[in-house]
Amino acid sequence: MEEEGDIIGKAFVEHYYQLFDNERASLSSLYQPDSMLTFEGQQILGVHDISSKLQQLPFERCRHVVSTIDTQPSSVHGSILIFVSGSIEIPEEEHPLRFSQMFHLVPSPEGNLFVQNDIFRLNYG
Amino acid sequence: MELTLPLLEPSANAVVSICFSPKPGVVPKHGGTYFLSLTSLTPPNFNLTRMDPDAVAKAFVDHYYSTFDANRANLGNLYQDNSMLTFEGQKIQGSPNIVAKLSSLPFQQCKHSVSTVDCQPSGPTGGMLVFVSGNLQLAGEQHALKFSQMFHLMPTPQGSFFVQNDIFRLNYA
Repeated sequence: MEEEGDIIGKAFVEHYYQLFDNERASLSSLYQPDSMLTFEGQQILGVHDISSKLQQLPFERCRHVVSTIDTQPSSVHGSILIFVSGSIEIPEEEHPLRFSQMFHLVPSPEGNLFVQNDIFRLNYG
Repeated sequence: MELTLPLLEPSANAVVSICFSPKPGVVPKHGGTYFLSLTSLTPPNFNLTRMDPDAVAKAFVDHYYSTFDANRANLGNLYQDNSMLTFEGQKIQGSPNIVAKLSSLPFQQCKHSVSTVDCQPSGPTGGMLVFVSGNLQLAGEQHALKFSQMFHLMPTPQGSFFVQNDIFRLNYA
């Protein structure tokens, strides 16, 4: 079960950042109406507002480079906690920004995993 | 919202443990409230006091790191048999193994300084996700280490919380 979680976690993280870096609007497919995002301390609720927030971030292009991925099974059957650290390259920034992010993936009624909880923090040097 | 602490009896050398209880039957929503229960390890129990989730998360984090920094062996009652810790990529399960791992870390003294605490309710089971970043100063080391840590707190049948999931990572520059 844990190894399966690692595989799912790694696949999700790659998919998430690939969407983020290349078609940010499509991230809405990964959230639902009761999803929660805390982005640098700002709390946003629901797929619509989360999608708006992410699309309005002050950069056109970016590239996430993942350093570490840790996964653990969560309490609800089939749900997974993922803890990521890495860096974001933004053309406007001279140096990559380091970040940590946590996802709580939960099965939807239809049976696929969605992001119910998402917390993002930049790691300042 | 202000927290009013009840006065302890002067004669009671009780160690106060802080238990975090969701109100029974209430599903915490984003921005909802939790109840903080202050319970002495000797009777009687004190009254429930209402706190918002951010205050509960901050109180837990303060309690966790002050316990860690004072005596890591005392962290055992914050974990259970099904608790999981991933410490710098190493997976450990169960309170005794987790306490053994934390107690065997290669430093005697340390001090955690918390920079940020974010929290969210984790779902209908009443859990709470807590995301921390901060600094870890080891005795004798010139520079503090930066870290991020994630806790998934779950309510117990007795009305307190335990750490079901714990993931720790140092943040290298």
